Amino acid sequence: MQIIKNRQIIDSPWQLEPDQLDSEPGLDQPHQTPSVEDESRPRLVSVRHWLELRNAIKGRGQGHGDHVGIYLNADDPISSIVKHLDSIPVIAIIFGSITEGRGYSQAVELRQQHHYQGEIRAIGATVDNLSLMERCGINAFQLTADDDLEQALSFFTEIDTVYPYN
Amino acid sequence: MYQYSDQERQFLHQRASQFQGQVTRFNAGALDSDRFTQLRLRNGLYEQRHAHMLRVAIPYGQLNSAQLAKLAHIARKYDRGYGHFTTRQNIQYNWPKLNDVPAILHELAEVDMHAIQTSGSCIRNITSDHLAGVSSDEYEDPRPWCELLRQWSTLHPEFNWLPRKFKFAVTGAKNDRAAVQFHDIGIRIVKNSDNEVRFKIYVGGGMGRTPVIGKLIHDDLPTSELLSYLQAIMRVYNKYGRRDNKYKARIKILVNALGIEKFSEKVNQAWAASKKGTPALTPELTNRQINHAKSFFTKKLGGDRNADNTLIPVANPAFMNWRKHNNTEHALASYVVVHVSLKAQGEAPGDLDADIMEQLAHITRDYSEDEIRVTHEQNLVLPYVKRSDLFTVWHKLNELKLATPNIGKLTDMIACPGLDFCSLANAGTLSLAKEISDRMADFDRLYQIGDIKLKMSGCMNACGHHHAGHIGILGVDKKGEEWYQLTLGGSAENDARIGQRLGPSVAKTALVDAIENIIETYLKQRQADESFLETVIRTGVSPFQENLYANHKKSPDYRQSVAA
Repeated sequence: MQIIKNRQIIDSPWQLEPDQLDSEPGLDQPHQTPSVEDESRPRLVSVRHWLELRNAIKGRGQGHGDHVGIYLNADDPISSIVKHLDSIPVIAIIFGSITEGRGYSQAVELRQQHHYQGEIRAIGATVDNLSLMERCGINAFQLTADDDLEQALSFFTEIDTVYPYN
Repeated sequence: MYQYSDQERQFLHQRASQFQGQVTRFNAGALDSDRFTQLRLRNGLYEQRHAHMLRVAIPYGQLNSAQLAKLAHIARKYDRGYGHFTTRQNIQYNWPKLNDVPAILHELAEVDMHAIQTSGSCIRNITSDHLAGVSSDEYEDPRPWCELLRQWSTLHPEFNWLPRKFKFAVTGAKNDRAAVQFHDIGIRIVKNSDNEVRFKIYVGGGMGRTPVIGKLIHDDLPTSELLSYLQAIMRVYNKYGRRDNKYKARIKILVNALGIEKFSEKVNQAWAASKKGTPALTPELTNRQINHAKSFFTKKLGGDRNADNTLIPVANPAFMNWRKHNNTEHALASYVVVHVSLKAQGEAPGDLDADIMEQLAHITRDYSEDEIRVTHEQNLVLPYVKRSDLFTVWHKLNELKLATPNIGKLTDMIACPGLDFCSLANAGTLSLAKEISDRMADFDRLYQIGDIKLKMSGCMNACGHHHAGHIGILGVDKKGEEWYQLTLGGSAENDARIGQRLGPSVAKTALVDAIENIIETYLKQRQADESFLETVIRTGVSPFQENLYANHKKSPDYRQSVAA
């Protein structure tokens, strides 16, 4: 799948694995149960599944971090993952629509308050919000199907002046 | 006044070009209507009953003559030759064409104006005291703080997609003229015992279908912490405010659901957490930044302030009457604050013709140190008129029909655009406003009634602030007919109060009689020089109810309204 990362179009191997407990998974994909055996395939799982996998793997003395990232629904608190941030390579934030604003605060908390260094990916980003999202610390963007990736790159620089206090 | 830098001007043009791109994509079918709706709303553009409506921001209500002249030019070139000043100190155009709007935004940018965040679920224009910087009851000029808030909230990346719209008001005076307790966040600037500036922060006030008085959440906030604390409130609201029901989405609902103590606790946690963050996202205001903002609002007055301190004695009763009712004393003795009434008999409250706007821009330039203000009561104010110029200014305003001596009186009423323009409205307001102003045209009677605030909204969204009216009128729809709910005893000042409902709603044809009836009751009930509001507070609404519905019960209108 093609996404934008750090203002470049790249191929991303990360697959979203929606949790069957999600009331609103964000994207229509079949529910899957995570498996410890399948750990070489890069995937984004729910906070709950990520913690379960982590516990399962811990006994075997190996990390699972490189291939398993997390996705956050808009109402997911980040409190249960903040102490593991160093071992999460990608955190995806689900934006169900253009009006969904909670993900901006999730990104700010991860990036500015907890100094998360990995990729923060907006799933369901819209071209007109790329710049706002980037300013909140989101650096990767999986756009909604309607939006054109090449054209999207020009939207980062539409407005290059912002006020210093925000 | 605040002066834009070249960079800020460039920003406004980039924003207008961005919107041009969005309109082009929308017209070409490359941007769906739901998304485009959200993007146009963040540029102040609504779709109304007959056409689009563009709401232009007037930050804290302040304009210079070039800006007012530009607003007149836009009204003539792109609209139908008039503009409508609103209760949030903005101006609205009722007839712009979608494809013209980017050009309008570029024109506005030429005079440092814009329509950014005047609609949509984001932080709206910051409103303030229309007497800021010129009143004698002021602790601190609120405008530099409003300007800092304006800059902070403009395209704030985290808070552009809130659960619902968000309104700030700021006052620095002893007497609140900005209705701070009826805002999502209200700020009162005070001085502590060491004469240092401090902020009292109120949260969760508002009108709409659930009127609530704002609650005090911080009573001693230091200046450097203003933005970091507000950021914490906004973050809590952004995360926890309801998004499933637009009628439950304002911050007042969240504050009431949690209770102010629990809400405050969450804010304090968010505030403390943000302190751990990188400096860019915990904006601490430095003295240098504050002083820079203040430097724009130190008025450099021309000539000798004390040289022409005397009013030319004029034996003109109309002038003297206007002087009494439409002037306010200024903090500087040689100046007077002149109220420009937009409530001449027969005019829609807040409407101003483009040619008159242009003339008023000249008066602003020549006689008010190039400054004019919009009030939240839909009038204008010339804040710097020299005493020696008063007669000339009166004469010029009078020729333009802008000197109706009714400020603060019954015909100085607030009304939203109502059913004539607004797609949300249930009932008309403008024809009623005209009917009331025609019926109450006798000035002796107006002065006998005294100070009174009549506020009228065409629906429960309450753009006409009816909850805060001494007399409030709310338009309701009953089986396709326009009916009106009356409330008494609201106030938007220091003693913020929500008006109490009188009883069953009144038919359109009976409304002006009902208001006459309420006034009669007041004149009968009042003791000594009690104001209308004081009487209502003392007697409660019962005598008004009894008198109103005693007559009214006999009428078919009443029986119909009770049945409905």
